[in-house]
Amino acid sequence: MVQSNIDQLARAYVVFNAGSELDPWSKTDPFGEVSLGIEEAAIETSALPYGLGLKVGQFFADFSRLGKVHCHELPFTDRPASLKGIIGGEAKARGLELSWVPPVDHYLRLTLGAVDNIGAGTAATGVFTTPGGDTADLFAGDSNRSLSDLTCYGRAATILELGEGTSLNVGIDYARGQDQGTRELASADAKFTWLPDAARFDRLEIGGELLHGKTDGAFGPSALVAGEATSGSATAHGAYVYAQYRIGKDWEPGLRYDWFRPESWSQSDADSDGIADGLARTRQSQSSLSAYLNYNLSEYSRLRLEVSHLNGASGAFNGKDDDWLGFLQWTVTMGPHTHSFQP
Amino acid sequence: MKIIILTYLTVLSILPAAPLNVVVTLPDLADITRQVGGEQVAVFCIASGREDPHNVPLKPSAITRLAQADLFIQLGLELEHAYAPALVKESRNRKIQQDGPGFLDLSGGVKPLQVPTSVDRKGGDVHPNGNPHYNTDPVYGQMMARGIAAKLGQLRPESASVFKANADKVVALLQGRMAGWQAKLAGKNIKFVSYHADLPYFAARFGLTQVGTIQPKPGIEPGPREIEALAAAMQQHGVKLIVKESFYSERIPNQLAKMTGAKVVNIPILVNGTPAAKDYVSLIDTLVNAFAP
Repeated sequence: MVQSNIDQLARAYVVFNAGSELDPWSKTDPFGEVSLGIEEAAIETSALPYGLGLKVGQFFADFSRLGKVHCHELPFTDRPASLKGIIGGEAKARGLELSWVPPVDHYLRLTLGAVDNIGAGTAATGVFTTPGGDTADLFAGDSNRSLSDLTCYGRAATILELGEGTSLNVGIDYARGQDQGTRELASADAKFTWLPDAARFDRLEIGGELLHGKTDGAFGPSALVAGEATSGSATAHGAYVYAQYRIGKDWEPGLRYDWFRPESWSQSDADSDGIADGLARTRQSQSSLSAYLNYNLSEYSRLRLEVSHLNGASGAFNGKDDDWLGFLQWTVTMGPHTHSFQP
Repeated sequence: MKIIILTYLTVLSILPAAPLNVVVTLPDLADITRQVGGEQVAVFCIASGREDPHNVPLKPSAITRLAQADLFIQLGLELEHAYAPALVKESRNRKIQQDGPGFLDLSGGVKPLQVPTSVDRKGGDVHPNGNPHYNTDPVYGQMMARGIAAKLGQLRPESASVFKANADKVVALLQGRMAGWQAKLAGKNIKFVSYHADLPYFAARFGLTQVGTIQPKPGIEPGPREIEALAAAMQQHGVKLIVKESFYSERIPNQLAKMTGAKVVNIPILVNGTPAAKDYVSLIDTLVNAFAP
């Protein structure tokens, strides 16, 4: 991250992302293609009165618990499939965001935003499948956007201090806007934290989130079938829950369960003449159970190992109903170590 | 009507002013601020004193207090950089943002020790402006009292003389105890090892010799070779004392003690770090007693 203070109360910042998928079996270049991109580039100010704050630019919208968290700050190595599928990865957005922390005795943060979109759009639900198994955009979409097509969102979040070292974060979110159709997102999240002894580094964290996504619109030309519906909706539901325990300064084992059920549409060809003659909804649930272990080499460097068992249906994983994934990740933070406050 | 207004204004002038809301990062600052501000301050402290001062949990109750604060006080030299900037920013209180009228960093008058020549991470979790643990030096405790009195006086000029007089009492108390502390530690040729480099100011003030730290670099845990090297250095210099800050594990200090025959003593580095360190004077008392029981 590169940042500069504009004045006493405003700053501009840019967050870069550099990444590469490692393929250890590749004979040529095991690191594949290295990508470099701008994750965030925004100006934010707290110069407004009455506890208001304003952010303008490209940023991770204050939407959902982990949607706005950078990959290296996630509790685990990868983003849960439910988050990836419903929000579309990180809650990246371009526009403006107004937040309010009312000056009262209980901490509460309310956020309202107007942006082009949140995340990667109708990523999981906006596809349909042809009889040949190919996929294409389900909805017609509209390349010309107007101000009324902006995605507007809101989040209300608070933290309850249940006792010395024990707290509960809760939040709810809602977003609505135009993507390929009218897109709605909703989520509810919670995180329980327990520090058994202030004089130790031990920490228990249990978190989870329920997610809902829906896109409603006219079907694109590729999806149209004579005599069938020309518009419809596709929804997706998902949830993840995780628990981890930090043992001293170094070790942090954890478990995560993730469930995701996207709904889309597929064409059928009952008479096998090569021409689609039907259109039907499809639902395919998938879940994963992950075990992970984080090891803090120092305050700035962390190794993470994760093993996930994926379960699906109808040969969701290259023809199989289940699969295994393994991750080994090394995260390094450069520059001063500061935490942002995320209710 | 005039009589009613005059009576009202007279009553207002007699009523004591509401206390200034002060939020401080560490209990050491809380104790000194209460002594200097007296009944004219209501102090909220973010850290309990029992945790690692570099790693204080981000509590929402601190934000609501900061949002209503007239003054925010930190030790500075980036000791609190992992949590204080985020809390102050989230409070949205314009008065206490850095360089605001209600922001006080007490490190301005400190001559920093252990200033790194380079700030790359080869040196561990270094503080670019020098070691921040100057609160363990009671002479800097006097400086903190004067700095707090000056800032409170700016915020409430009509009480500046009261704050100054209270700060003078704190200074006199610390100066009065100084001779006893120095006498207890003087001429003992005390050599020691600590877990983290948080006692250089205390050691410099009282003429103690620090032979090393268990962490080979700030925030970096030692490997077997580093433990062996430290044990060898302790034996070479005749070190008989390992001081373990209260929030660190006993495992490696005890291992070193077995290897060298040195004694392990649990110490606070902040007020409330151990039950005996209930205020700033007793923190220094406890530290002095740890080195010269």
